Amino acid sequence: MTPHRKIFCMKCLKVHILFWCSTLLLLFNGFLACAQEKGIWLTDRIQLKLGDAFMEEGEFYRAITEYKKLLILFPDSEQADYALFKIGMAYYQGEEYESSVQSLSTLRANYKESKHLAQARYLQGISYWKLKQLEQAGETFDSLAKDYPQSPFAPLSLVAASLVALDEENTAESRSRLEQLISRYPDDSAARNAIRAAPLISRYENLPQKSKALASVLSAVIPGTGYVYAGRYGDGITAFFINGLWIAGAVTGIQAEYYAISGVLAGVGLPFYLGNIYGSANAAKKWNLEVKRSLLDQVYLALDFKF
Amino acid sequence: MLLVLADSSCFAFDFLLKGPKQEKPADRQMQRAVETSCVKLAFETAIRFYQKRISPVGGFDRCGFRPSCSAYGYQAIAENGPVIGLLMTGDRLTRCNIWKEPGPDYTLLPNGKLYDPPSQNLLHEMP
Repeated sequence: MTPHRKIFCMKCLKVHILFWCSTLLLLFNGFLACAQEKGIWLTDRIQLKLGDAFMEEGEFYRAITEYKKLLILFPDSEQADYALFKIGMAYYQGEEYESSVQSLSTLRANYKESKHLAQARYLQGISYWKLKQLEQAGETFDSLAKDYPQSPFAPLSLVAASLVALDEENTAESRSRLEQLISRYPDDSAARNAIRAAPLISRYENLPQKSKALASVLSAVIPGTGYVYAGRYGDGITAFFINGLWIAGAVTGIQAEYYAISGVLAGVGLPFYLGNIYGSANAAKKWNLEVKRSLLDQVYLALDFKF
Repeated sequence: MLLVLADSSCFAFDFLLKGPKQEKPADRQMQRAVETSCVKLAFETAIRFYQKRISPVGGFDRCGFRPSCSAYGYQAIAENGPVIGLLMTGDRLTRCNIWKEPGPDYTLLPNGKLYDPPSQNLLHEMP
C-alpha cells in the first residue's frame, strides 16, 4: 500500500504545483495588462513627460516638482541631467533667478558630460544678468564662448557678453566682443547683426547728455528754464508763471509793507521754487536715461537679442 | 511602491507649488507709531487734513496723476523725509499741468491717469 500512496502523492503534488503556477502566471499577466491600460507604470520617461507637460502649460513650479521627483525616484536615470537642466529653466521662467543659477551650477558640477552644459551655461549667464550680477554674467558668457566654440550658443553668448559690457558702460569691451563674434563666426546670422550694431555702440560713447548741475542753476536763476533745457517746455512755462506769481506777490507785499502776508506768500512759494530746481535736475537725469534707453533699444533690435 | 513614493514626494515638495516669495507690505500702523519727527508729522497731518476736508469739496477727481498730488506728497515725505519730500511735492505740483501726456516718463493707466510714483523721481536712484 505504501508505494501506491507515494505515487499518488507525487502526482497530486505535480498537479498542485502546475495549478498554482498557472494561476500566478495568469494573475501576473492580468495585473500587467491592467497596469499598462491605466498608465500607472511609472518610469523616468513618464516622469519627464509629466514635467515637460507642466512646462508647456506654464506651470513652472509643478514642473519643478515633477523633475525633482524624477531625480529622487530615478537618480541613475540617463535623463537626470536633462531634468536638472529643466529645473533651472523652470526657475528662470518663474523669475527665481537665484534658484535657477543654483540648479544650473549643480548640473555643471555633477554631470560634466551632459549634452545640455552649453545651454545651461548660457541660461546661467542670463540669470546672473537678470540678478544684475554683471561681472559673473560676463564671465559665464565668455567661458561658454571659450569652452564650447562649436555650440550654437557660442555666438549668442558673445552677443550677450557684448550687451552685458554695454550695461556696465564699457563700450570698448562691448565692441571687442562683437569683433570676436564677427571674426570667429563670419557666416552666422549673429555676426551679420553684429556688423549692423557696431556703429550704434560707437555712438553710445558720444551720447548727448544734459547736465543736472546746469539745469539746477538755470532754474535757480530764472525758474522754469532748467525744465526747458531738459526738453520739458510745458513744465518750464508752468514753473516760470507759478514762481513768478509767488515772487511778485511776496515782493509787492514787502513794498506795500504787508510783511505778514509777504512772509506767508514767500513761505508757501519756497517749496515751489526749490521744487523747480530739484525737478529740473531730475528732468535732466531722465532725459539722459531716455537717450541711453532709446539707443540700447536700437542695439537690441539690431542684434535681434531677446531674453 | 513607486506610486506611494511618488505621492509622498508630492507632499514633500508642496512648498514649491506656492510660487515665488512675496514681500509683505510694510506695516503702516507701526510706522506711524514710531514716527518721531515733528516736522514730518506736521506735514503729514496737513496733507491728511487737505485730503479729508478740502479735496472732497467740488466732488470730482481733479488730479491727472496716480498717486494724486496729495498722496504723492504724503508718500514722498514719509519715505524721504520732510526736506526732500517737500522738494518733490513742489516739483510734482509744477508738473501737474495741462501739458502732461503719456510717454516714457508717465505710463497711462486704464483709468486714464498717468502713473508717477515718488520712486520714479528720486535724484539719487535709478527710476
